[in-house]
Amino acid sequence: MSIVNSAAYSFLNSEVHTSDTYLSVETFENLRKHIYDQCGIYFQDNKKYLLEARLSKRISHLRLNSFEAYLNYLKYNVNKENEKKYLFDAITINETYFFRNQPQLDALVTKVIPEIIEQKQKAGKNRIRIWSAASSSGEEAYSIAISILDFIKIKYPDFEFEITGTDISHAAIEAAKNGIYKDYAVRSTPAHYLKKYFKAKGNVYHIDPSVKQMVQFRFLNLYDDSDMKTMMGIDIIFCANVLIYFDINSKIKVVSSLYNSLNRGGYLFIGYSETLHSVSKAFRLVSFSKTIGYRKE
Amino acid sequence: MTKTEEKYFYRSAGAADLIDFINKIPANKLSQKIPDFLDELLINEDKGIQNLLSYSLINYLGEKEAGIIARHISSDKINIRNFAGELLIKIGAKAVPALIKYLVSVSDDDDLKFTIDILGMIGDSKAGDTLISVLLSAQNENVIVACIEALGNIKYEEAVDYIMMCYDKKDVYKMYVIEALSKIGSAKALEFLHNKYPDENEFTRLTMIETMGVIGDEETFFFLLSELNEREGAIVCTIMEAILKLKDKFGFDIPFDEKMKNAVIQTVFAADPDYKEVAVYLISLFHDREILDACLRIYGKDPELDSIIKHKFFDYQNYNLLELAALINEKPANLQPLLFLLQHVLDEFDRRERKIQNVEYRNLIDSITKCLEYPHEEIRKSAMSILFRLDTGIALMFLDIMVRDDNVWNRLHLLDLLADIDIEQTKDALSVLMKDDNEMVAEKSRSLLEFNYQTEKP
Repeated sequence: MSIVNSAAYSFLNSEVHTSDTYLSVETFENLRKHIYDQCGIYFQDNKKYLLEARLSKRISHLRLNSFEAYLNYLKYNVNKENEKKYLFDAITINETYFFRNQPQLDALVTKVIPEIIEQKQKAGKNRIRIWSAASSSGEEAYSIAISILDFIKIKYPDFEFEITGTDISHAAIEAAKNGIYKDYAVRSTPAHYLKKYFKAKGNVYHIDPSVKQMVQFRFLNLYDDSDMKTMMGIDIIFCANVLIYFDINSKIKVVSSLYNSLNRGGYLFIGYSETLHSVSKAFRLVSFSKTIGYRKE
Repeated sequence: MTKTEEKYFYRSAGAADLIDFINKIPANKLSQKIPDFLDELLINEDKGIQNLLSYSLINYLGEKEAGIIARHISSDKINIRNFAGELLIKIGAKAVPALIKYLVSVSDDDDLKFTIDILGMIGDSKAGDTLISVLLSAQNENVIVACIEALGNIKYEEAVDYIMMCYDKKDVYKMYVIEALSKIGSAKALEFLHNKYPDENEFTRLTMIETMGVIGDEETFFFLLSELNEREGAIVCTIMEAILKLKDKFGFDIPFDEKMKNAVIQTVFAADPDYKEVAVYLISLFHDREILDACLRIYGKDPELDSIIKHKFFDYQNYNLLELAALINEKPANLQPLLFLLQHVLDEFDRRERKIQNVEYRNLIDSITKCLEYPHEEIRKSAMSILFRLDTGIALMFLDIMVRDDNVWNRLHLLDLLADIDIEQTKDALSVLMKDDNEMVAEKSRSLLEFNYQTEKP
């Protein structure tokens, strides 16, 4: 999951009543607080324009005439629970691609999984649970599945891999379940993987059923304690490019929940530009070739 | 023949008659006779005469004859002047007294410089004091430079102070002073270089470092090591060369740290022909992954370096092919040599039964498949071969690209690769190639397809 500036602001503006759709500073702060309370995502002051642009379309769709009205709708309308779905879709953008963080995937298949398999074998278990904790449209989760198919399955055919992708955006989850991607999403995919694990149809790529069946997708709000309790006993978590959108308190809360979800000896991988410094001391930092991971001791 | 007749003969006879006449002089009388005709021979520009002097008579020329020859240094004819110089150099130390005598008598700066140059080339220390006195009295820049060079050439240690005095007089003298000190190589000269070094520009420092490599002591070795921390660019190669010379001289070990590693990498990267020997030595000396990676970037530039890099590559047991794959992905200028190297590596791995690790394998395949559509046909051809070598199954996935290769020889090469694969997947590719515009490709595909069909039929 990520939030980027790609909204077509002028287009969105043309759909609403311009006089009423101005997002005042006060409403922005109220809206920001509401979003933060719901999912921990914090919009910095300089992202006001982004929020304004992203929500205008929804306001228009609901035939509301102001951001204040939309805030009230989110808080008090009978459909407020359902509206959350649209809110989360609107404030998230699913910009990712396959094999985005190759060193992490290499560490996964060369070090982490073999290490966990050894532990599991000693304990007489044969199932490994992997969680892509902000799976967006599924690229990361499927990249994990492909790496496992290519590197691990031949060596450990009896081991079962349960890969779960979760996201706060229902639209992203639907896209992930469809498993159909444009060129841009596969730009870093090794060419032979494209031949092996995708089917090219016109200008899109369909993920192969052998990969698709390895991954499940579902909605999950990382900021919601009850949601998080549904993800326990995980061996490896990928939570990349999510923490950057949280403030420090949200980060602490989310990372603490991720820690609880992990089995002892399990690993957490976060994004290139993210760190657990001043967020958590519970993990042990482990260095791999060109990447790092965090191990629950 | 009377003396007068003889003189007339020497002046007027043709070259052939003269040579014939001289050749008939008995050996025991030659030394005595030579002064009589030497002047006449020297002014004769005939090649046969000059040859006679240079080879047949040279061993009969001594101090007295050198005096006669030295007079011709002032000749207006450049050929005679140069020939006199050649003869004096050949006479060597025996010519020095005559040259000294001539030196103190001559007043023309060009003649003076020429004589000093000859003394420098002879390299006899007897000229040292005279050269110093000329150095001290001379005003002409060329004469002073010639004196500095000559004193360096004769390695006249007593001249060090006087040479050093010239250093700050004019910038033009600096390089000559450093070179002369480098040849003399005294402790005083070395100390002088160390003292002057900090205030000098980069270019002068470069020459100083070269000199330190020649005359340096233990202290210089450590000074140069510390210089590696301060310098970057072309000077690093020069420092490395000087360090290696001192290492050999004193039998020191070169400490291998990050700075040294970077210096070695810079030297290897520079791939400067002047420092080839240094690069070769350094590559052989240090067993380091990053240095090896740097070597890969210059692979293909020089056959001698390549051979060392290749051996080093094979000797490096822990080497994995990820860096090579990453480098191939960058499509560097030396992509073709790198692909050849990869082919050798794969052969070597087979020989050593070294398995390619999974990640290496994946990255290699990815890098090579990207080369299948590279603009250069030789690279595409190598990529085909390597891909089939790495994994036939994966290579077959890319047949759609390979059959479209616009180079006919590459398509024929593909058919060679397919010839050994008797499986269903090649049939589609062969069917496409059977319709190839090129007759050779079409014919070869047809026969391969028929052969496969026949062998499969029973």
